[in-house]
Amino acid sequence: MGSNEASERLDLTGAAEHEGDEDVRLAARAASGDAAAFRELVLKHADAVHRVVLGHVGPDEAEDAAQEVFLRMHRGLKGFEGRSRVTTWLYRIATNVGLKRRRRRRWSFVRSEQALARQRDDRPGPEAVMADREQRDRVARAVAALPEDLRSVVILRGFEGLPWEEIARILDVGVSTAEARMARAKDQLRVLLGRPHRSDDVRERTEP
Amino acid sequence: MMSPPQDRDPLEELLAASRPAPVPGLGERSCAAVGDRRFARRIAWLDAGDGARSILWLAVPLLIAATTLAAMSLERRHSTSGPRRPERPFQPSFRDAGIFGLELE
Repeated sequence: MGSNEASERLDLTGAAEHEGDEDVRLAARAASGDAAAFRELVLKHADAVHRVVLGHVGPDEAEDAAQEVFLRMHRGLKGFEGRSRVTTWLYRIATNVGLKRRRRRRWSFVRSEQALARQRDDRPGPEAVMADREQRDRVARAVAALPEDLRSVVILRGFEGLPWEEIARILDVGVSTAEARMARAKDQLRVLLGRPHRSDDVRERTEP
Repeated sequence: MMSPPQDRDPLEELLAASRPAPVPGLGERSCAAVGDRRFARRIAWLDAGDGARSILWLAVPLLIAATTLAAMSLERRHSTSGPRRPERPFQPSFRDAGIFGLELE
């Protein structure tokens, strides 16, 4: 995230007021050492965390990255305070872990952006499943080819469907910046996916 | 967590339809990884590597700047000093000559 690398500490005071769901209670119990509560939290959010890191690092590294997210979450629970939602905090950790791992590849000199974009899921399956997988692969390769600031927004908005306010909090940017990044990402995705340009996206385009 | 469908355009629909599939058993394996000391150590090493890289990012430009400055300073000193004049033979002053016991004209 570069400048977006916001604090990964969760502030719990007052979180129950605006979250009001099970996550805060689970997080509080997990913070006090309740392993069952932590397990429940992990099981509940494992898929979402996996989707976020997968978008950044690709299938080879996604599971390891997801496990790293939960390790960091476990460590962070100790210093819990709680001004953001548990999911916002988790998405932020997942985004930071994904971006960090992707940046490390610049130093390994082994895997380039193109290599990541070429990554495919080659597991065999019935034709309908294959067609579905083909589309997912195509979209995943296009998303992986985006610059990191645009990629983060596409993952959080496009895959996770989060509201702009939450995306802005996760990435530590303004709402209008997040919207403008999505508009730019869509332009690039249309080119990468070979889709025609849509004029009704123009309203979102100016980044402050 | 998905936003209402009416808010999404066709490209966002395509992205939503292309959400990566869940990985069976990931949650359980993640719980196990949290208690795995080897995994924790590996992550700690990766973090240390990140720290070292960020120091390198800072140190390398400083090293380059210092080397450039040193080279420039050496070059400047070389160009201003010019060719050295031949050394004059020892010639005592009048006072010294008296000390040395030489006859003065």
